[in-house]
Amino acid sequence: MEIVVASGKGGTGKTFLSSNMAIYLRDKGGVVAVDADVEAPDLLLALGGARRVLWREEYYGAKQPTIDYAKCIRCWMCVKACEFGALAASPKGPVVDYDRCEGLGTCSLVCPVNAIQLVEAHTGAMYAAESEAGITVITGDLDLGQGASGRLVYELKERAYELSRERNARYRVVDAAPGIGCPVISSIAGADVLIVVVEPTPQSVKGAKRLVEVADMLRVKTLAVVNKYDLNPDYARSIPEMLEVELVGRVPYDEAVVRSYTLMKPLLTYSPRSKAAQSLLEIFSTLGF
Amino acid sequence: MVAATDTGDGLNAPISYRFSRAPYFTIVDIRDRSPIKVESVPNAMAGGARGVGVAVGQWLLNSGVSVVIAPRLGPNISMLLSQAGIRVEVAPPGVTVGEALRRMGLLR
Amino acid sequence: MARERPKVITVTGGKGGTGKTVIASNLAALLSSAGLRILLIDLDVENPCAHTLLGASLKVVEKVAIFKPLIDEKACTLCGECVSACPVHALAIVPSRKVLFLEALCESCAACLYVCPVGAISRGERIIGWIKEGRARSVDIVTGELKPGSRQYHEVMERTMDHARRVWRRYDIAVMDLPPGAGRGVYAALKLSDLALMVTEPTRLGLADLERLHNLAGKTGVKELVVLNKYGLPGGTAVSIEEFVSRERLKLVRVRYDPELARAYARGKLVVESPQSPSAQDIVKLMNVVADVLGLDAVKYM
Repeated sequence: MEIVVASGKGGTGKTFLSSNMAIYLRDKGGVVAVDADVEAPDLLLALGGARRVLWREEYYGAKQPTIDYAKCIRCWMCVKACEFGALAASPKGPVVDYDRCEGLGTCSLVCPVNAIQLVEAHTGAMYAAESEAGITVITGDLDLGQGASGRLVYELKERAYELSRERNARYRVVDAAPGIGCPVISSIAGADVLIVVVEPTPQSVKGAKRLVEVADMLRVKTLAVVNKYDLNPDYARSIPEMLEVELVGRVPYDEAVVRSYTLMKPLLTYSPRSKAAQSLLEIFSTLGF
Repeated sequence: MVAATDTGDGLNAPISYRFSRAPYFTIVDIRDRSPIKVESVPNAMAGGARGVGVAVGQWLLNSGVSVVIAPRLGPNISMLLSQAGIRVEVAPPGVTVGEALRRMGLLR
Repeated sequence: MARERPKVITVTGGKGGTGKTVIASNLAALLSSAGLRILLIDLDVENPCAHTLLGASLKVVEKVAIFKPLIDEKACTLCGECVSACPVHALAIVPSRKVLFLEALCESCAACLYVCPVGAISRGERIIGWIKEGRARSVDIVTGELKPGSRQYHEVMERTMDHARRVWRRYDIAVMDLPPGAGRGVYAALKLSDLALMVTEPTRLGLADLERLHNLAGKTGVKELVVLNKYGLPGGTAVSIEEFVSRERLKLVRVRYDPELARAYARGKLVVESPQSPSAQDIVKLMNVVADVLGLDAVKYM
């Protein structure tokens, strides 16, 4: 079973929920956790950091055009053909703006003298680690300033699927990136259930609504958890209605959560009696794991 | 009819837990609920980096199959197969192709 | 004096929820009330919120559209050239019937358009988002918004920046509110900026993401200023961030943890409307530091 935790807006408590869910599921049939927030991967840290790295694989997720200026006849076909405005004319020939380039190679395709070659570019790494809290985490690390994170997320999920088969782990928990873009779509696609973490603020609800819309398009079942509901209880109550999503539970604001991060210990291990931990346990049992 | 399988043992090959990246495809021609031709083909596309689902889907379209048997399909290939009007039947991984076909009533 | 561009301040932070939008919108409002012409550019295209805090309503000024193929089935000879040329397998062919287009996979490179030998493919368009404008508290706002279900957030960010750059010479300062992360769009925005405010929070995860962002900013040469938001958060740890800041010789401004700020945020308001609150006072301090770093004399006499 693949459970994705996402939020539409950043900082609402995705990593908090997914790290503790992984701890809970460890004893309920086994779990492999996936950190799909490859631009800011924090899940491993929330689970205590890496005790040992199981494997690491470099990731070449992009192709980059390189131009042979000796061959180039300055016909500017490539400049005109690029849909992303990533090529500009210059006296020596076309110049590539790699920030805009999507690496799809239309420039190379239209070049009449074969002066443009595509080369594979390193954009990140994938690795699996055993966390201090005893959870296997598959995580990606996108090179700074790189794109194409959706494909990397897809690869991470594939690796997690294989590993969960090998180990007979019943669950996979995917901690998604904030937002609704490419990496989030890759995280949700093919999952069994999406859990939206939402705070009682209009900004968070707005993000969550957009996320629910995406999940509907991908036909993934969606449930909601309201985090820090007591910061605005009235507003929190109206959230399921606003999102048109079934609520599985609410978690109160609790300083113990912040402390658990400071100590890099998941709340369920650090302070299982805290009120936030109690609410989490209730949520996990409602989910029927 | 095609199934993705872990081995190349014809009707005795167990169905793989994955589809597009399975090691083999087992293709069965059926007439009057009897197999008239069984063929196991190694999956040349299993190691591809991206778009494997559609590449496999295209290969299936080219080979003219009408039913696909799988435990689960990736989002890309299911989209392609449904647009092409190919029927998808769900079968659990591990059972043999022959057994799965009998359970579906496609074989005697 | 004619000028090419305003001073550009980017508000970024790596981790989500550290307070980027709160800092960006409060700072924009303060700078505007100091008499400067301000353009606020909301690049958090996956969930743009800055306008809600400023109380602006937006209207669409531009659609963000990208290429998709339109296939003329009558002209198509089923040769399969487009299928082989498509680098992302968004085209497939049902033998002797038709070419299938899988829109969800299409990345709009238009290769199919160039390889079709019989001209059966023409240029269609797919809307992936919108650029919107609004105005509140004398702050002009440009917002990029990704259409839910579209993957191309980076393209929407780039087009929003293009749009803003066409108008920004009319302003003294442009404030860019960025999405979380340290990806390609963040990098592109940092390269356009004079000053990056890196908003973080006193948690272990805040530090981890700040470190990544600092490394990315270092590749661009932008000036950096760390904003330690929620300073004094119960249970939090500011020490490791302070150590990091002094080790890297960065400038630091603290914005105190303030329930007033959280309340204002939950109501969709600016905290600088409550000037006595600790966080509002800290944001005024922040503005003065920003003015100092950028040499904005007008602000200092506030």
